Amino acid sequence: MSAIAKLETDVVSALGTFMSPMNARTLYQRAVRSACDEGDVAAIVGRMRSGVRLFVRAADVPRAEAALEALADGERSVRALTIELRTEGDLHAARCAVRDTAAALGARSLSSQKLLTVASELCRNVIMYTPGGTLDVIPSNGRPATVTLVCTDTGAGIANLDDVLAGRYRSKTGLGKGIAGVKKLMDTFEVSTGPNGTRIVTSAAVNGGFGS
Amino acid sequence: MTKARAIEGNIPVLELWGRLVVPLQGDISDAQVEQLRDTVLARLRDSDARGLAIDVSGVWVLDSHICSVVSGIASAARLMGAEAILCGLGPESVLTLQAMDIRLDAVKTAVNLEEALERLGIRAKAADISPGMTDGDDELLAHLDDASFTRAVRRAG
Repeated sequence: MSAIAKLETDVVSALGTFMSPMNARTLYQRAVRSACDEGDVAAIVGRMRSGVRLFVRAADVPRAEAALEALADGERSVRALTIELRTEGDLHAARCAVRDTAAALGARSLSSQKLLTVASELCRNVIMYTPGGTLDVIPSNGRPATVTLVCTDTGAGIANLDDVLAGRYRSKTGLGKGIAGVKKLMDTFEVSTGPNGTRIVTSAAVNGGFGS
Repeated sequence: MTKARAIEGNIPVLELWGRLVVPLQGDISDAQVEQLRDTVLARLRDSDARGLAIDVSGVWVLDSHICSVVSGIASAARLMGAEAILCGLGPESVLTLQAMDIRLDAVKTAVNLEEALERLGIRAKAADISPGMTDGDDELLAHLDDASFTRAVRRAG
């Protein structure tokens, strides 16, 4: 039996005490279908967590989640990912990488959405205004788990950086608040920019509150 | 959201009871947005449509760019005398946009498409249909986006 088929069987039997096999299978299929990498067990199990909360009685949720965790054990090393950013299509890959990393760390939907939006803002800037760059998505499994995004590009640098960060700058096309918004949302934020390019390093705890 | 890209090609502009409805899905390219704006304005000019609802519940990530783009289409529609309402923003999107201080002040919003259409003047008189889950639904469940899936499961009780 392939590793993936075995995983489906394991999932159904692990969750069988808490929900019907049909529901367990549906959850599993949804998780696999939406994962960017079908072999990424940690991401698949992570994606199933929110479904578990839907189908299982509140009192049983901790045990059901523990059963899922047991499946992911041994696959616990969440990998860092690097995405090349050049065209609009790369935005999708960047979002997938962030989404799967957050899921593997057990992010709830609000936390995941926040990271996705931030990654979207940063990557779009690179794609729209520079020849290209990369996004590194770096998970850390500590307590709390965090995700660090490192976004670098080979563009001409951010003019009016102070104005941009203070939210005073309005670009011609966008609302001009992308980076300022990122800084508000994340726990840490550093930017270095110059005529040869820009590097932004920003991180946030998964399932943490919103930054001030 | 699946690995597959969103709708390739033109974004559909539907017409319901004299109102235009634009369902945005997944990732939308700049080329698609331009084409959408042109189509919407042409339809407003050529038809009797008096209102426009843009539904973003299917958009994967609402960042400042897509907000700006949608605001632009809504403003353009208003310049043509049509009322424009944005609907389908979920709680996570709203909280994220607020925390980033991205405002959609210039655009009217509604919680969902039904409310948007009501605000655009549509009055529904539907027969009472109780939503329930039938046997054929488990195949469908695997393909729904997260928000619809959650609603479907909750409705089934």
